[in-house]
Amino acid sequence: MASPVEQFQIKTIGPELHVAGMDISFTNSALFMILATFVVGVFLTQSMSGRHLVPTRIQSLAELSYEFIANMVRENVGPEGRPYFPFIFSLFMFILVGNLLGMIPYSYTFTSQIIVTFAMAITIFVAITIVALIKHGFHFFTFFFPSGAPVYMAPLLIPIEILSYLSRPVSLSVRLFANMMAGHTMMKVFGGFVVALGVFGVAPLLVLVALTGFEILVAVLQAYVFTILTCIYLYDAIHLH
Amino acid sequence: MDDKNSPPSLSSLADRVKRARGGGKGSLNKDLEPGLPNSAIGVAFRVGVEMVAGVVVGAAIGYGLDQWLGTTPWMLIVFFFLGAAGGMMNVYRAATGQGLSVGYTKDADGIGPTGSKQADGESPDGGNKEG
Repeated sequence: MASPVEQFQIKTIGPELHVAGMDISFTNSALFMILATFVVGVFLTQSMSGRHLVPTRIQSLAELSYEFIANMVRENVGPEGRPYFPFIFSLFMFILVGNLLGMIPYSYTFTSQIIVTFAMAITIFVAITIVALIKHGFHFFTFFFPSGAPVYMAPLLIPIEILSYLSRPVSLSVRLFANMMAGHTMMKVFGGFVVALGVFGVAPLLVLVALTGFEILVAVLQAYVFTILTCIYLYDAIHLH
Repeated sequence: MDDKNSPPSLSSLADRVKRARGGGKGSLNKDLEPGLPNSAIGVAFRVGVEMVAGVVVGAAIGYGLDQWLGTTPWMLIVFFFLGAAGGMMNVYRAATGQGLSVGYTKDADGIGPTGSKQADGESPDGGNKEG
């Protein structure tokens, strides 16, 4: 029987490509990333092509997702967050579709790879830090010293605050990656039980049904959490107090 | 009689939508705590990740500095504890509902329009909470 973690294996599709000592072969992970982008693109363009005043079902899905993120940006970042809406919306749709594509049997969940989530988180982290630096200049560095703390605490507090700031991309990426990986491993383990127990496999099968529903919830929830944390970090960068 | 039955015109509908959205400017929702799900398991997971992330980042920086400066193992030890403290700080912020902001604590009402004003940022309770 396949090991529960076999599903996370990166497999090369097509020829192996090496450029400057780096392996840039096309993999199943890359395939599903492209697929996710494609699904989002087709979904949004096709659903909005009609532009009915009274939306069709698929159009209201697209409008709902737009409104959902627009409200999230408005409530958590404020009016200043508007220029960043396209980025946040793309981010949300990419993660959401990636997570949901992973729920299809035999597909690959690219968000279960820490390097994928970390790449997204570090991009956001660097971009948000740059936004904060542009908006506030050197005033940004006062961010690392809590107001009202005694000055002699600075040598201790500033390193702690900087480290706590630097741990943001790690916690952001680990949260998404761990949720996706743990959930998919668990589903595979219970799937193994179903096969191994024969007739009595009905019991784990029931668990598996519940788990599948739960996983779909987690897939949506984690996309939401990733996006809203981006909004919160953006709020900090823009407002900074 | 007639205008009671006819659907509202597009422009009046647009006006109403605009009004409902707060004059088109967009407004921050004051009551909203950072809209993270607050189920027990969600909070527990967030806190756990937050702690581990702090320690991992601290240890990684310490290890990197050691390799660079050849001070093994002192930087690792120092940054491990600083990272743990940073992680604790993030946990404390997450648990007390101050969002996940680093640095200045937010006002009691969390994310809100007050944050955009410089003066409100330095609220008197800011320092107490941090201590």
